Amino acid sequence: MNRADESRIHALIARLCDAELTEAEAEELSRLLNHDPQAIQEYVDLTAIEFHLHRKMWVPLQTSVVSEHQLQQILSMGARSDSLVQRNSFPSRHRKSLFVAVAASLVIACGLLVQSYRVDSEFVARITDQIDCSWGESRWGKPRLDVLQEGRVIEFELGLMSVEFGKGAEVVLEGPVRFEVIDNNRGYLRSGKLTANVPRQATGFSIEMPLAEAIDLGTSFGAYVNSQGDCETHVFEGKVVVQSRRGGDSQQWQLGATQALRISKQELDPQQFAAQPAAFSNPTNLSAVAQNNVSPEVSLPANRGLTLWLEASQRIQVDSAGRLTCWGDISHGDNTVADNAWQLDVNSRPQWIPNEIAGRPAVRFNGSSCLVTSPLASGEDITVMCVFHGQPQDFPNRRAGQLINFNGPPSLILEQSWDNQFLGGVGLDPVQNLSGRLEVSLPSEERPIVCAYAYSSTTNRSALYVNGELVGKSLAPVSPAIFSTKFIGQASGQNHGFVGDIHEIMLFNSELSAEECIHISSDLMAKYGITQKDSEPRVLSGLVPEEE
Amino acid sequence: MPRFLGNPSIFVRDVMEEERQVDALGRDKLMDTSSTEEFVRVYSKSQHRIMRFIQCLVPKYSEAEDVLQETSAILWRKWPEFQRDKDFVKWACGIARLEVFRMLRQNKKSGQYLNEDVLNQVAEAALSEAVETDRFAAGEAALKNCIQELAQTEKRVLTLRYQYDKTIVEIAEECNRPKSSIHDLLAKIRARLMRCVRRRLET
Repeated sequence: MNRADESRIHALIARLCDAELTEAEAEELSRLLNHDPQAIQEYVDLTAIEFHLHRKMWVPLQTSVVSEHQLQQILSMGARSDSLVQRNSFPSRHRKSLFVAVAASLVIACGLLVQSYRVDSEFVARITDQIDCSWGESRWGKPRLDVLQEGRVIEFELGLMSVEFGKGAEVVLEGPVRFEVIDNNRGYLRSGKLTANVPRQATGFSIEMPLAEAIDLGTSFGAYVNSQGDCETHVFEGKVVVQSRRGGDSQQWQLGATQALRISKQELDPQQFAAQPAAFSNPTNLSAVAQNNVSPEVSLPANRGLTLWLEASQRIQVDSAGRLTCWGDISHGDNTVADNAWQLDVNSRPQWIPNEIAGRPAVRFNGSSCLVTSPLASGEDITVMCVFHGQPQDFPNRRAGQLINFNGPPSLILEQSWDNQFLGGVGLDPVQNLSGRLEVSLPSEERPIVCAYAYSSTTNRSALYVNGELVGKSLAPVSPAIFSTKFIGQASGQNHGFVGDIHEIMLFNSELSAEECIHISSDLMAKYGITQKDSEPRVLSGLVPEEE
Repeated sequence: MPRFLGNPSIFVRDVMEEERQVDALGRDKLMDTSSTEEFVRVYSKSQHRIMRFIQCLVPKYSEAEDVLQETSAILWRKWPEFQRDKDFVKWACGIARLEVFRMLRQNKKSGQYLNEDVLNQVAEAALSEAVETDRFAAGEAALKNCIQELAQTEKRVLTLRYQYDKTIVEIAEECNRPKSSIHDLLAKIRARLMRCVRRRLET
């Protein structure tokens, strides 16, 4: 049963319950239900609702005595009461005023009804972003079909998904998760993890869980349901009311910022503990967990197509074990779109090292960890700058470790081999010779290396700089242009894992000049305490154009 | 003939009247008082689930009530044949199922219902549900909570529809809204309640 069939079945059952089903519609419904157990269960469950509604709500008015209080309730519900007036023999002098009151309440009720239709005519919820998310046709960005109707179940194993609710609340789902949209201000977390950011107009936004319900009183909280159904609510900002749904229990607790509460099946009493924001991925709140927003200390040329700038002291998000969840793209100059690099698989996260060299942090890769950027366009002309310190002796299986891979083809790669060679180039397939290939032997020092690789298919040349010195040039006939996720620390096929630290990466959608490469390299060397004498690279290969 | 009027005490009274008449005619197969009481007790306890089973096949509530009334009479007649170690609800639903098909054929209304083949498939699923006592009660309790979660305007529409038994047309007229809007809104509310009940039963 697909979604369209499900909607149609609901509509037809509604007409059947209201005794308005035509013969043709009856045939259609029969056809949709025939030999489809799921559809039949849908039918059984929906008609059960109709049954219980009749049983629960139908009151034989002839025999009931309507008190004044009940009458007020009826009036407030906007029901027309001419029949009630007769049945309950109200004094005639009251009838006219009663009728007016009822008529007025009806107008109000209908007005509210109309208003609710207007609200409901807008979206219930919609997907605003996906980050490496195993849901739908694309793992990244806003999907083509972004609207989520009431009752829509979202289930995925890996990645993040941002969902905006009609009343304004935003929820970030983190895989593996099973979540259901209930209405425009409510959702049900069956299992998994989410973060909710709730603006003022959506106050009252609530997340149901198997054993509890979290009702937001403003700002931000996290919710987690494990495989046993145990529920946790973590408040990051503002206040949240948690209501137990365990058995007949309806206890409530109000949690403030930094507080958390766990309700489990095994433990009789709920447990309060400190909220753990690091346990929740929150792409909209990177700055809140970033380190001091220090100046990048590097002078970059303007209007040169800076499109990605990752720096280990800024815009990072780590989990509770200090592993990097997100490395945020620094917005600078013409780099206005944040193409953050992510790792949502706990086992593949690199470690964040707070004070690695010259008091500066690093992102440490172990050969099986990597980061993946959101998809970004890289053009015909590219310059990549990188500050890194590899441990080639530790590379798995004596293979090269890749610092960056454009995940093509065409794939621009920068890699270090187990025998300490550094290689740059653009490949159309794994076995083909690299275009613009340049390879150099790196100095074996216990210090980071600053490398710059400029590749231009429009001018058919590539150049490699190590610690501010030009070490090789080559021809570059193949276009590297591609819109893709960029892998950092590993190739896309989970091989060629890099072992070592990466401090900084810059990606320009242009071919920087020799002066620009050398100037930026100098700034980076000063920043990381790298002196010129340490750099004694030797060109091993590469065709150097004569005119240069 | 006993008539079920929605109130077990009325049913008992009617049953007793029939018993007296039978007794006056001097038939051999008279039910003793304890058997009658047993029937009333078992039937009273199960009637909602039998009604639910029928309503699954005949969703219009008033028509389902008619079928239940006829079914209850048949159950009473056949009560001496009922084997006490069997499941009463299952037995009663089997009879109700036949009564539904008889009614549909007799009233020539089958065009407005599912065809018999599909109704049989639905009946199988509905029977499984009817014999699960706990799930029936839990579903009812869950619905009560789910109704509380609805918006005020949605509760008002439910009140008009189910408490005051208004038709869609009447609600539409009262609210000065197109009939289709009320249809859509009610369908939406029912679907939302269904999902809510499912969630609550999962826990």
